Amino acid sequence: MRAPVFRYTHLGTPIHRLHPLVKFLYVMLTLVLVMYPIRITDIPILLIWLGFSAVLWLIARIELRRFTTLMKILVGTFIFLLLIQGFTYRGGHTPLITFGHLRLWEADLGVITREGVVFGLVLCVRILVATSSLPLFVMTTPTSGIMTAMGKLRIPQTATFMFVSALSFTTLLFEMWGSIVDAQKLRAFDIDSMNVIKRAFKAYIPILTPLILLLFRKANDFQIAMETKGFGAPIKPTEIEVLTARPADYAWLAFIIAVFVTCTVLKFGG
Amino acid sequence: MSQQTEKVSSRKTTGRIGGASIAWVTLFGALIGVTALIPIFPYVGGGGYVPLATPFAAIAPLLLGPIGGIVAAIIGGVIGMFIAPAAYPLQLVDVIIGAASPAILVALMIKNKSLWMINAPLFIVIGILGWLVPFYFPGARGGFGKVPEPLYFILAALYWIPSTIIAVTPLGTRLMPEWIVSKKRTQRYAGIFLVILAAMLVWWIPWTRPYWYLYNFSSELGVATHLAYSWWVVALSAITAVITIPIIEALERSGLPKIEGSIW
Repeated sequence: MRAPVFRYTHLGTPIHRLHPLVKFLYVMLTLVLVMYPIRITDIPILLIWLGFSAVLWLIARIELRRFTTLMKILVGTFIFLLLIQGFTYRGGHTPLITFGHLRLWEADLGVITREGVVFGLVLCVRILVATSSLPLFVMTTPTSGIMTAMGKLRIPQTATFMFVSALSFTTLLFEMWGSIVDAQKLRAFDIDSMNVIKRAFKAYIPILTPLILLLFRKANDFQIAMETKGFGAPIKPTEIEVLTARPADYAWLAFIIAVFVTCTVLKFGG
Repeated sequence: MSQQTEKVSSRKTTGRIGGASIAWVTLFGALIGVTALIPIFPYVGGGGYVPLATPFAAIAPLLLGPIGGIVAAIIGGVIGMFIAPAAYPLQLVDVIIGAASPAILVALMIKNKSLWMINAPLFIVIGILGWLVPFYFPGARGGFGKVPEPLYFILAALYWIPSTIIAVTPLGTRLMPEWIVSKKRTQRYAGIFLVILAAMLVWWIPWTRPYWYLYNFSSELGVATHLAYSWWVVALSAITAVITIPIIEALERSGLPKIEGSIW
């Protein structure tokens, strides 16, 4: 199992100090932007937001290797999109590479068209825009900050508690998974040497069954600990981290909204 | 059977969700989140993978009861979104379509005995919407091509008509709910496989359409994807059933307190 690359790193950059709610709004606006219907002419809008995100990544001093990891994960998607759009784009009429002619409904599947490849590029940029915002939020916001921000959004305290507890238990799960895999390897059961099909049907049962049993036993202990500490008591609990909005947060908020409004006006006003 | 295994956790306190303790739901949510990092199937056509989190979200209602399972799946989806953003490129949308939906649909199928009158119309609505979006709505206005009919309708129907038939016939209303808790292993395998298959076939429709919309799928690709995934959903359901049975049998023997609404 690959360890998560996108995890919080403690640094003192302006993005790390930024109010979590402002960063959360940036994630939400990114989602709205990528959901707009898309045309080839929309690429400047996507590039503006992508450039804006790149600036945020730079200010947050996120290492290049993390961005490289993201790109490695996405490269398969990009190749798929470029090929598929190249072969099947409806508005394609300039042949780039011709393998033959195979007309199927509205497309000639034997020809890669220039317009199709360009549209594929636009879609790649759209996916890159979508996937660049959340890692930034995760890598620059501590768990306690996320928890307090969720509280400010009036998300029920139990839900917040469950989310934050689950997040903190992920490290434990990685350790448990590693221990069980090592134990199975000692019994000559090597998951890494299996192909995808064999792995899907055979590999996971000897790992997941003990993992879930161990997990539920730990959950029993956790439940006792929670009840002992008065979880669910009818009093207003205190916050781990008290968040206050600074003038810089308002300035960033205005800046993010301004960039979003600019993109939206360019999209629908042009 | 020991007295301990007969205990049923159903106290209605703030520390429980639908009969399952919050700690169990939280930890299973964490497990779903972590398994977002493990690929089990590449996407048909490449470009990504279906994580192990998806079958885990689907079996959550079987292990934790319908409500606890759905909550665990949502928590797992959100965690997965944070620790494996590439597995959830559409972020919150992916949490709903990739994690919450399988759990909700499996939960509905477990309760099909009493909920078939809700399930069948729901499956039909999902099926019709899936047929219309995106090639008829937004259609040409959104840059989507014309699909060949009646071929496209028939291909889309392969994903919701079998589930609807299962939901309204005695197979879904009487036999499946009995089989999933049966002591006979073959019946149990069949019951769990059918519950998951009926749910995952319907799940496939809303799971794919946002991607088709975002990737501007051509009509040819829409047809091809329907064909390519037809075996895939069955295989995913089979894998999920194969993983689930040993877990359930182990839980039955574990002495852990049982959860109201779960099948063990």
